[in-house]
Amino acid sequence: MRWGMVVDLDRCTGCQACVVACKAENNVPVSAPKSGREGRLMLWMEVIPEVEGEYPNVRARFIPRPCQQCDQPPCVKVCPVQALSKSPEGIVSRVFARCIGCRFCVQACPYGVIQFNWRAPQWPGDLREALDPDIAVRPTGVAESCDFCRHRYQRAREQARADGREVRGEGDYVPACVEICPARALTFGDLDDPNTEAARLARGPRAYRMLEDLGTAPKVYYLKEG
Amino acid sequence: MAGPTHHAEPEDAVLFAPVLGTTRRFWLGAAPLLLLTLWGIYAYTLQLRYGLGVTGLNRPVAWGIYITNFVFFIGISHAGTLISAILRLCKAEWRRPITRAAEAITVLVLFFGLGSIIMDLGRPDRLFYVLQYGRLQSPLLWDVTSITTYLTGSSLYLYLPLIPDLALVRDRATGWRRSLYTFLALGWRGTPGQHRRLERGIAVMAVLVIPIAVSVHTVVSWVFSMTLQPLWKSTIFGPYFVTGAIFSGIAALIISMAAVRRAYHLESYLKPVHFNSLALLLLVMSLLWFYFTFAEHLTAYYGGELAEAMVLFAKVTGRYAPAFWAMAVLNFVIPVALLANRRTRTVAGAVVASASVVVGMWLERFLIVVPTLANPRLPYERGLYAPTWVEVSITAGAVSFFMLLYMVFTRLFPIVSIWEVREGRQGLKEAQQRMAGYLPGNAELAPAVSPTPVLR
Amino acid sequence: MERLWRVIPITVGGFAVAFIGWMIRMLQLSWVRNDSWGFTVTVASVVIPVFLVYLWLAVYVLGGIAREGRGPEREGRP
Repeated sequence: MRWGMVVDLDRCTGCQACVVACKAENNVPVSAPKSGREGRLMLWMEVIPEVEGEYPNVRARFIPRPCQQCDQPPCVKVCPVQALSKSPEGIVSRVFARCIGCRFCVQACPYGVIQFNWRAPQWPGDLREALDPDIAVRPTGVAESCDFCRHRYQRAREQARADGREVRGEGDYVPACVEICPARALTFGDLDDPNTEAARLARGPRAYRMLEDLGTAPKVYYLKEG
Repeated sequence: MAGPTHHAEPEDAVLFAPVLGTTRRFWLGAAPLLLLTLWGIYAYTLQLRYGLGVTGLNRPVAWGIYITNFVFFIGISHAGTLISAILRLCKAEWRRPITRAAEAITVLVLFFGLGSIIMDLGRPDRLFYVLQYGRLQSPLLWDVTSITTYLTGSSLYLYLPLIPDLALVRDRATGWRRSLYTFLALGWRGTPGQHRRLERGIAVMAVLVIPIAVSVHTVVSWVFSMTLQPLWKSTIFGPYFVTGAIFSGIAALIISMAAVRRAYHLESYLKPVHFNSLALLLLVMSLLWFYFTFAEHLTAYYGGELAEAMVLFAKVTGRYAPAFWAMAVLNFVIPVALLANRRTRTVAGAVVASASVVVGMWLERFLIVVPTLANPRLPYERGLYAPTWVEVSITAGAVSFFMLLYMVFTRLFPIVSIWEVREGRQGLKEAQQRMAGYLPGNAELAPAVSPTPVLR
Repeated sequence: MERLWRVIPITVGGFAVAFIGWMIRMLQLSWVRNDSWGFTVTVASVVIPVFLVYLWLAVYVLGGIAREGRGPEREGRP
């Protein structure tokens, strides 16, 4: 089993629903405007606007960027204390209580998707009440990044075990961003199973991966605008 | 300055004077350094309390001047052990008065290299996880291993030749100092057995510390070059870093020698000839540094790979251009101009060149760390980084604390190796014989061990 | 005092032994985790001999000097 995501750039409208869903799902701290100015936004899922051409002939596109979930993850390699690991299903995730905050993973990642808790996390007003008690709240000084909502996979696995079956490659488990996407730009599934929609799209002619030539073998595929 | 000592032996009295008591001038010099150190400690407590948010670090520039300091301090540490070991192995007679000053820099500055890493950690409270859960695939663990090896080795290499001197001082000191030196001198009485063991120890260490020292800065460079980041992923980073390390190390050594020479009136021990030799070494290293820098940047320029070119032009013509060209002037133009000319290759000239190199090499380390991070491979983020007052204060505190420790060291231990200088004096004949042995034919003073009866 | 200065060789030797012990622990950890075994073996095989030299230094050189220092008064250096 190799979980992967396909992002159809043709469909993405840049609505940022995935960003908000991710923040709510994973207890990602709400960044104050100050953090933005300091360049310290906390985003596990980020929609990057790319603007081509000059006014009035502009063409904007949106690139959703979660952790690329590399099969050869450079971040896991360099972690000095094994706070990072890749699960048998290919999901790169972290043990926050182990992280010493050296930020070597941040340097090693060519995609810039690893976040660091520069300050103590903050949730203004009632948002603190909305925290999911099942998800660890990260303290100051540790790194974090998207893990394809791995807790959802764990729940799906438990459910499947209770039902006496295997986790299905499609449908049983999707990350929050995929679930919420109103434009259906995100597809999620087992890439090893050729029958899933995700695997089919990833094999298609429009599919590419970010910085593919680095050999990190990401499991997030992008579909070029056609 | 301490007055003349009333001990019987006038020989080398000036070397004993600093370690037999402190003067007011010492405390006056130490006070500002102590204040700056305390200020740095205060800044660090703020960082401990509020997290790394008090620094100017951000995404994508997540490493800043702490890592710069780390590389810089570890670089300075190459002054000592390496130079002193090489000179000892080569039996370079002019080494005798300078080895101790060099080795002391190594040991003391290494603590600040290690300290800089701890400053940089987001969770210093979990530091020992590195030992508990370490995994040696991470270059950070290579650092931990090699720096520990180096720190142990260079401490031993400092301590071994210190033992006979500690015994000499022990026999002159009084009070708590006497107890300290008695403890540290291990009961050294200069028996033949003790001499044999000591000399074997020094000989083994002099060979061993050279590969260790080279490996340390190579491993430091690998922290960068093992990643995929543009202009970090370079095969020459190892030798480039080692060269820069020896370069800045010699500069630091020259400055510290000039300082102790002046403070303790060691003009008759640390002579212009010593400065001249070290200055020539500095000149060679400056040329070598230039060669590496040129090669490193030319390949990036000519290849013109987009990600690398972005970093390169940020350095050469962009935001970091002032620092880059300042580095070129400080590391190459000034030292070469001063040291290639015999008239300016004086003690003062060497000190000016060294100060310029120390600053230039710090800039070099900064320019390796920051521009690459500020210009990552993906074009979506472009970083801005300026250190905050906290980072600057901690850096200033670290530098002052190092200088303070060095001052204290010169007050606790003879900064010129007394017994080695004496051995040199007694060994003049032996040295002459050795030199004669280099020459062709049967010189009058051929070594006694290999007599040449052929021509007799 | 003569007993006290034995602390120095013992500390140095103890540190060397502790470091070698840590290295062995790293090998064990790497084996158990089935993670970075090659790196660990390589580093250990380089570092352990170096620390054995430090151990030799503590025992033979420092320990030896300290032992002779405590012994009966002998001829000084010729």
